[in-house]
Amino acid sequence: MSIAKGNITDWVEKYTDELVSWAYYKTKQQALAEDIVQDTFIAAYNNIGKFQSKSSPKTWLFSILKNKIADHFRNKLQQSMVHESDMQSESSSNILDRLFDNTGSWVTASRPSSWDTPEEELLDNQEFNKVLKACMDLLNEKSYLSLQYKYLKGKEGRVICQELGITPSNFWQILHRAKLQLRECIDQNWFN
Amino acid sequence: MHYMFLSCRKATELIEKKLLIGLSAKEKVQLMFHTSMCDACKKYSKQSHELDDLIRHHIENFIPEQSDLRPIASEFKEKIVNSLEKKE
Repeated sequence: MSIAKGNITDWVEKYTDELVSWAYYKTKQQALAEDIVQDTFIAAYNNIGKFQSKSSPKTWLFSILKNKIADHFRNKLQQSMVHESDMQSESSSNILDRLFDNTGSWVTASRPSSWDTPEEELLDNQEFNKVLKACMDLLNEKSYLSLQYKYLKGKEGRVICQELGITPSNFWQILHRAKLQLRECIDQNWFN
Repeated sequence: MHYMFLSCRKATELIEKKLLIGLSAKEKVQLMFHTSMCDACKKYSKQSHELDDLIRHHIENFIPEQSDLRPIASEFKEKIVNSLEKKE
């Protein structure tokens, strides 16, 4: 048995559960999550030469998995954009009309006020992350997929736009509405 | 309207553009000028940066404690190992 295969068999035993549960959380479909994890191990096997034993196998496997899930989100996003000729779907343009008046000023009730919890205390706070998840689940599909893709890839904005085949101005407008909606949702459900 | 003056709606758009791809020199001046006078947009800018970190951290790391995922069958692990064997 080669070293590579011996390692990977061991990793399959050790890390499959965690990888599938993360993939499932992202995709919401068990069969799909399992397929993506299987692809992850095949990619790891084929690229074992790139694995540096200094880093942990788990971190390496997760980085492959993140890329695979990001690619899945990109395909879904591209499909959803083909079906939707108008970039501004109704629900997402409403947020601008709800938060700003016809001169473009904040509507009084929507003006941002200070957040009293420091960011560092929120990052790993389970309760806060539950609220953030609930707020993200309220986004329309295009905004949700765009956010997931952007942050899973962790690349520079222009590169992300190229990969998605979308113009930067379209992309930042999607993110603008998504962030306005998330900010408002978190403001109402966590800070108040 | 004077070219220096942005609406809050436009200012928040530039705040997001800045985070994603950066601003032109003119846009930078416009945004700085606006946030120096507008407390609500200054707060939005700060919160938008914080939100960026929070979303990134959430997307990379968060797994809910409870999940309705069915347990992974040992057959599934065998299937993966077998699919690797075929490649040899």
